[in-house]
Amino acid sequence: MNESPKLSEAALAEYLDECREMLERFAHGLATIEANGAAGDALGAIYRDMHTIKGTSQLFGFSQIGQLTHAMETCLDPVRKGLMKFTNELVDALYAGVDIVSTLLAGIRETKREPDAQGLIGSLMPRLVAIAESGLTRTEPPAKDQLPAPEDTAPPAAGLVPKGVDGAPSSLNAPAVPAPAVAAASADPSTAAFGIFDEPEPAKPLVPPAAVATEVFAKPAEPPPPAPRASPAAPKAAAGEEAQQSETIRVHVSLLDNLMNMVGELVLIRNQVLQYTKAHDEDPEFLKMGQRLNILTAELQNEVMKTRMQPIGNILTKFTRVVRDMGRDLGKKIELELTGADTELDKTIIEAIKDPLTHVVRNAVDHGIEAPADRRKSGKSEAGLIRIKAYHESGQVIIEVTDDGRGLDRHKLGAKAVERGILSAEAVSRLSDKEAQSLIFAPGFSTAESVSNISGRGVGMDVVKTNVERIGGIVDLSSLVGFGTTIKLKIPLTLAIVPALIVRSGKQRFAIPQAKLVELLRIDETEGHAERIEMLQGRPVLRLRGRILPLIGLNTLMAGKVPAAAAPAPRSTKEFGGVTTVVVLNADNFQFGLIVDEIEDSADIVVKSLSQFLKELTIFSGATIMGDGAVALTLDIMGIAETAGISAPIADAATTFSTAQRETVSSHRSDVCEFLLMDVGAPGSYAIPLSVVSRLEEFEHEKFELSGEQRVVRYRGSLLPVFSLPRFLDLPFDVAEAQADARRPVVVVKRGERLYGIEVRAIQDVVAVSSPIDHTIRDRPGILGTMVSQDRVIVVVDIFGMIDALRQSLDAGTGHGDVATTPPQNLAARGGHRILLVEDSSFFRNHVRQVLLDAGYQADTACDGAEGYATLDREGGKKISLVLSDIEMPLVDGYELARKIRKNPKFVDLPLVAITTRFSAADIEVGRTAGFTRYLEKLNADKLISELDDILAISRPEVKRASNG
Amino acid sequence: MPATAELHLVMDEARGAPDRQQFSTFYIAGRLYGIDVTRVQEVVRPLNMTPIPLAREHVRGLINLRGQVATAIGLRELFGITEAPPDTFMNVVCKIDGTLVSLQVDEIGDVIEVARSEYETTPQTVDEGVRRFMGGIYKTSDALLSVVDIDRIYKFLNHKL
Repeated sequence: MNESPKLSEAALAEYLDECREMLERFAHGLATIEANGAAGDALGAIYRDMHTIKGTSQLFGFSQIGQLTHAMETCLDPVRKGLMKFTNELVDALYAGVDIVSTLLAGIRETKREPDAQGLIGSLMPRLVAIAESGLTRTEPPAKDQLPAPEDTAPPAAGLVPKGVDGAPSSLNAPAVPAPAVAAASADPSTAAFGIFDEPEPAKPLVPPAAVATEVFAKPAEPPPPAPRASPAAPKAAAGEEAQQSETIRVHVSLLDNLMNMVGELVLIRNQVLQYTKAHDEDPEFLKMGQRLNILTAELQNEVMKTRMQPIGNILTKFTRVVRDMGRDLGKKIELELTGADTELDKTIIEAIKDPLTHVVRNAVDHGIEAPADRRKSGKSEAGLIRIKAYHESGQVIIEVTDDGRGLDRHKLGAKAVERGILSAEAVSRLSDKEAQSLIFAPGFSTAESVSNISGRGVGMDVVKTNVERIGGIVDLSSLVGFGTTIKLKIPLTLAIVPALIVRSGKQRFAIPQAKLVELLRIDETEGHAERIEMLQGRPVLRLRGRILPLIGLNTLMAGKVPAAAAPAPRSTKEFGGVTTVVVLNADNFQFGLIVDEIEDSADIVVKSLSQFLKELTIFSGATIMGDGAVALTLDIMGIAETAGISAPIADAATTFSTAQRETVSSHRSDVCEFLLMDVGAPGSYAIPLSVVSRLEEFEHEKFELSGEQRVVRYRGSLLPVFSLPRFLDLPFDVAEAQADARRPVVVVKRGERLYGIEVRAIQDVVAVSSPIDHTIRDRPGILGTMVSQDRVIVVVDIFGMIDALRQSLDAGTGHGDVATTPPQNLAARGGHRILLVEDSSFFRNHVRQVLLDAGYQADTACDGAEGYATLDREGGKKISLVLSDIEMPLVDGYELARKIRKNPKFVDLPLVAITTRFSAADIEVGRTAGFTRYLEKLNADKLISELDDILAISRPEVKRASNG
Repeated sequence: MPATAELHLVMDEARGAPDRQQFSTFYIAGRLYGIDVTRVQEVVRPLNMTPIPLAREHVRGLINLRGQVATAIGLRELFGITEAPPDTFMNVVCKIDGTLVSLQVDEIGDVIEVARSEYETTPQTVDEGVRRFMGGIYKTSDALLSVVDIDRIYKFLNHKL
């Protein structure tokens, strides 16, 4: 077995303790029966103890104890059944047996292996045999020559007599398996055979009695001494054990549970006392006592928690067997590596994760690891590796199950999802890799092409997820096709005491489990601060690091006003003015913000479950008693998300905010780009990439003023020029005419240092679109192209192009400027240049790439700085003439990429061009320091091409030299 | 469940016996009600209560009963008696099926002992809103005692009535 030595040791210690305990009970039982007769089930009890010792000993491969206890058990069996009397001889023999077993156990404890005592056993065995035989002959006629029957109960009688003391070598083979491997075969009592008298006889000639053993066991080996207790044997050994015996005791789990509960109560009372002492601090003595109580309670809590802690290895080691057996059945070679088996977890939690974890491991064996032939084909070693790693991390226990198998293929998963009717093909295409992989958690999903009888029996990964989440854990998944899959279970240490954040809404306090907490935000919307909570379709949202975070007001939620799908949203953005506290929470694999009135404290709470009839309130998970004695409800984060309708059912996962992806490498490769959909008064949908939008505003009709012919609004201490999109696009509609007196929504876009307002009739929605932009349909200037989302055609507005055009008219007072003036270059010359475009947003990546290709350049793309550099390095700079990079990217941003490129002597002279919306003087300075040659704005296609032409014409010779060197 | 079932048996026997039975009584809007005294854990003075947002109207909140959390049920709301509620409520705490429930009443009365012979089933004229929680009445010498059947209340709370 592949158990780690430490673990076997733990198991061995447990075995030794258990055996000793049972031997003691056995001896005590024997004494009681002898004195008072066999009352009740006393005989049955000692018989069972002996049976258990036999079983576990054989499991550990201690064959001598196995033999002996088997013989003792067999002697007891007819007595137990009332077929034989409880004689003195029997008691003596049993006592002698107990002594030998305890001596052997002591030896095992010391040397980790069974000392040789065949001599002793050999001398005791005939006595046992004689007793058993006499019992039989006295009571019933032996059924001659009946070989061991398969039944557990019948065979002792059957097997005993015919063989007798002489021993019959015929059945030698079965029980004489000395190797530890005996475990599997003989653990099952029915297969452990009953030919006991075959065993000692052949053993005797083989192994001469060891000198020490003979001495110690000399007495009990003699013909029956009449002493009722045959304890003279091995008195020394017994004394030696004395010290160890007191090391552990066994107590019932319910006792520990009670202790735990009471300590929970004590913690609450401690909290109350502390609160009281704080309020009445005039009595120093009382204060001191409070402090002592505090410290003591904390220690007590700690220690009691420990009593329930068990090493996770207790379940991990079982997987050795699971993996080996399954691997054999499936014809796969698999190695199992266990780390952190001594990581401790609360007993109840260990029980709770046992099944989910087993399923994950089975899954890895069945679906993850490929058949040896397939592995060879893909250049892997034939033996697959499954690694189970357990460790502590920030108050949680993480269990990682990693396989180096085939990984999760998003196409296969997608196809399966479509086939199972879980998702439409279109929805699948919109999923990011991570989301596609998460499909395995969808109910009714199985990835194996044929469902084997090993895993995938209708119990899917969804059950794993549900079970883990039920105990407050999280399941995370990452997978790389061809390289394997890692499933990570994050489990709380204990269920009883939960660290929580106490928040206030109105007059009421609520507790939020820390495990669900991502971060706390303080949104300062007062004068001079840029942070803003914005309204989107009447719902508050917050822009957090470039993503839209949906917000839920705890007050609104508690007032029952959410979901507000049908309800009007009278709140204007103004209502959030001032400072708002937002608790960012992690629900499943997406996040949302909870607006609370105040954050009070963090505290360890004891969660008490709510009455059954309150379970319908899914926003609460329980209640707890606070330090001041008041009851506070604990919030159920998943329930809140569901109630507010912002949960991410997998079907529309693509359109949902999902920052959990940030954790994985594949996250930002998502080919989904978010667009702001606007009603511009014209038929059809118009959209601009959300990433260029700075703010969404609403202005009163009267706020619009005219500066010359340009409409402006006073905004943040300066004038915001406002353009009408329909007017610019020359569409036959106008917002101003359509709604003369209403508040006007204005999309504020930052271009360079300046803000521009785009007046629209209404902000419709934010949509995530994965389809590329079709650049062919551009019937007029100001339009980038069209795209299709859910059977709807969306026109993408070239917002920067429009601003540029209008700005020129602003600046120069002329009409539309001639934007595209650069004369076309020689396409062939451009074709010799390969440009590496590094950009995380798929929208810009596709768009700029198209622009480059249209102009005749060759283009390579990368999703972030790391990939960009890798591509550059791989190509060795030979092919890449220029790097065009975005600045803000996940993981490795543009600055870092530039620095990295400049550090490599090969690329010292490689032209680096930043394309960005971050265009302040300071930003440019940072960029230049990092190594960027030039700064360009996004979305200005013609400028981009002309600049590139310019750079490449100048630096071409240098590039060549650099790349050749 | 088995414990409750057993209790039912005991109660049924008690009812069937010609013996006398004791009721812990209380008042709601001036009317006298009683709960079998063996089912009442304790009677507690008004306690601080934490309301449960979004819960049904008769679920008044949670109270801290010496470290245990009990759910407070307003019998007024349950019975549909809305006129003139008092400022504070007394708690009649019962443990039903392992759940601590505090039935909130206007005022606490004495423990009354009644004879089986005084029992009568609930008259049909009693408003259904109250009648569905009643287990009959006792005609004592000076008043009519309405028996509140807490198991029916519990069933109602769990949507089983």
